[in-house]
Amino acid sequence: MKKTRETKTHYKTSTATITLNRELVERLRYAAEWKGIPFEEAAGKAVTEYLGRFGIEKVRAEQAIFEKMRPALLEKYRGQYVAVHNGQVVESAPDLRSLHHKVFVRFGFTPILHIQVTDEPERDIQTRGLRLERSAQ
Amino acid sequence: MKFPYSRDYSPNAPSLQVTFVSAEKQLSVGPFIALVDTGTDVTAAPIAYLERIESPIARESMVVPHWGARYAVSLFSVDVKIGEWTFPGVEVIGDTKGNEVILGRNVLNKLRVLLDGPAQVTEILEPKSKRK
Repeated sequence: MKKTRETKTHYKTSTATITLNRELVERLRYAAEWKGIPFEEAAGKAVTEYLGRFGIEKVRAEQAIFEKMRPALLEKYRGQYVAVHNGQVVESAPDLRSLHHKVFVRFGFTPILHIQVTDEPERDIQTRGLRLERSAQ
Repeated sequence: MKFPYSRDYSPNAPSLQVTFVSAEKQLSVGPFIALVDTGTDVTAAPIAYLERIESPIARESMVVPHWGARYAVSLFSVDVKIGEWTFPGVEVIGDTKGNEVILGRNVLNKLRVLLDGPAQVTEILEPKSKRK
């Protein structure tokens, strides 16, 4: 049986105690030592990174649902920004900033799609700048 | 408001000083020298800067570079501060590849900017409504 070590994490007023298996603790300790940061900081960074990836994954999934809903949403929300959470429009606003505020008040840090409802499908973002690489002096 | 051209580029390039703000978290990061790039659709910043102020992810998109393969990016919702002007709720690409701040047209189109090449100065002009 693998030995485990308890790790306490704090965020403002909320605290959670989690149990990590020994191997994970050792890997994390090694990473922290190699980076020269405290163990707790390394643990925090690892969780933050995971949550970042989760946010991308969730927003991507919501966006796929949004694309299917887009024609139906046009009637009610044309030109507005909507927040899509678990496949449902949960908030709307005339601009992104107002929408973000409403969503933050209701859902805190939960990753939620914020997108404008328009006729046109999402366009790719273009970058046209060309750079000359500086030659080594 | 005037900003000198950046010498980080060759030839020197028009640039502005920008700060990114997460109003809900009351966190900001910057100021950074940002390249004025009318060829880029959307403003971009290294993702680490946006993570530092805990900006919320807004949506996903694809970037098409002039050359090379398109790739997925996350867009974050932040307030962009340039001098005395703040632009709330701007979509900014969290750049995982580069370390530059690039001001694209989603911000530049809100500004009256004079590129004074010979003087090597980027000037933000007063909005038309404020002019006498």
